[in-house]
Amino acid sequence: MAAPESGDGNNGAARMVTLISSDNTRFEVEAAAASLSQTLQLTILDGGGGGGDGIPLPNVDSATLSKVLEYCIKHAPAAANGGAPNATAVDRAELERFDNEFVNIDQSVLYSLIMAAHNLEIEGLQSLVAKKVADMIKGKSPMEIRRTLGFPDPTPEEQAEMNAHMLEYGWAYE
Amino acid sequence: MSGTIGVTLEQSRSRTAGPVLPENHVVSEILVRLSAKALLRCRAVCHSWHRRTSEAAFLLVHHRRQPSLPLVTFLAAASSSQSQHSHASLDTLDLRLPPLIGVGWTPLPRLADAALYLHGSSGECHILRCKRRRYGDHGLTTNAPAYHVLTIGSSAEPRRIELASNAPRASTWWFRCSERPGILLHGCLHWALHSSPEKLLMVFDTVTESFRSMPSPITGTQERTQLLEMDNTLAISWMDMCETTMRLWLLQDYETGVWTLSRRIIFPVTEMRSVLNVKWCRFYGTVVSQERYVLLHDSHSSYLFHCDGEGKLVRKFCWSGAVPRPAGHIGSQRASSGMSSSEGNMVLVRGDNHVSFKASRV
Repeated sequence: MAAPESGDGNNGAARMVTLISSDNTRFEVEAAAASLSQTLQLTILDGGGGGGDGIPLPNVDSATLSKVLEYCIKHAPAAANGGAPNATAVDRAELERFDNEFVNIDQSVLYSLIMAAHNLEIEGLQSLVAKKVADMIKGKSPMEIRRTLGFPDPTPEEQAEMNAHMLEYGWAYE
Repeated sequence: MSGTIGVTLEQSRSRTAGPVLPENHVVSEILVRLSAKALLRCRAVCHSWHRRTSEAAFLLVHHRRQPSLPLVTFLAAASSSQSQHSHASLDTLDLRLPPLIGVGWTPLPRLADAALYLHGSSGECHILRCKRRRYGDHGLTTNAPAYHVLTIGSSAEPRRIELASNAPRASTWWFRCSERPGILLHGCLHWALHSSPEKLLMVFDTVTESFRSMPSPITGTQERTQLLEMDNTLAISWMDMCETTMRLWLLQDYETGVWTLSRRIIFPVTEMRSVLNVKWCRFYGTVVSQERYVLLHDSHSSYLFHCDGEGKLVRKFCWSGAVPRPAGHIGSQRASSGMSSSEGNMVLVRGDNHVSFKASRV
């Protein structure tokens, strides 16, 4: 599991940290990967998460956390290269392929990821999932959007407002 | 994960079976990625989405993410006796998609001479309005523009803004948003003075809400000169008298007002004239992208030529029955854009996108 770029001044084997999900599952992961989270980065820089302590994440369950870490581990090497300006086209294409496949998931998992990415402040993951939901919305009517996102059926008043909106802004519905 | 959701929709979700998108701040992160059209449809989804997407801060972030679009004005040949203009914007992608003949355009209401900006200290949306007034009696009129600041959503009287005493004579210039929108940079709106004897830019500080001027490397007619923003720097383009070359200056030092000539683009005029089947005609160029792509048109034809920053002809476009005129470049950083008012609503026109502000009558 040793990453070639264990960088950032750490010598020898990559430093590991332990994260604890809301349902008390422990995940051991390289500090470089966990540091993609702005929230965790500070704790890790302060030396937290090592040894038997672990960092508790009461807002993230184990299923979501394992998915989040899958993303972080994949993206950590590129992030360590400062956003990978010198990454090869092959590397970038591979990350893109990974990202596309990564968000090809159940809506419930997607929504959990949105919250986790937000709470943990993982910028790349936040944009990835937000873009996925935005793609689900674009080209749809308000009613279709409500159905897609699982909102309850509109009340008669809301339905009337939707119709009025469509009349007023017809060009936006073309 | 439902335990982490703090806010719920105003309605009960008990009837729905499937997963439901959490209703909180992540919604804004999603909606900000949509085009203006899709965003407008989202306003009808529910009250909370309407509220979120109407906030000034959200609109500003959304606006900054929008791609730059060239704005093209068409002189409709069918009604040329009335010189009727239709305004339309063309996405750069649309420009590259053949066939263009028969492509429809969106007529927009006449653009008012106004600029919209976010006021520095209050965070309110303000409008700088230019009105040409008529003075004098016995039918003798002189047109002197008057400038007023209005606040969107406020019933307060428009506030008059005076020009500095050393400003260029008011009658020699006024800004017309419909033709060349002001460039917003460093909290100030900038306009090139057209047909002015002085080489100056007019600057409106959106924090102190006052006018000043700064040096410009060139002065010329509106067709010849164009003020732009490139990579956070002011730029100005100028077509030479022979209409074969465009010069582009960059404002290297904003504080001292030092301009440097950055590029000279020589256009394939002979090639373009042969397309038009004429021996001689004037071309006017408008820079429409950060990559220094230029759209060229002549005054009479239905053709629009698309050249790259090296002066190479990339594409040509032809509309039947309409004469296109590029009106400028809608920069992504610019909060000020062409505006129109209809039915008392302010409409911020961004390319083919409209963002409507629930707003006061102007």
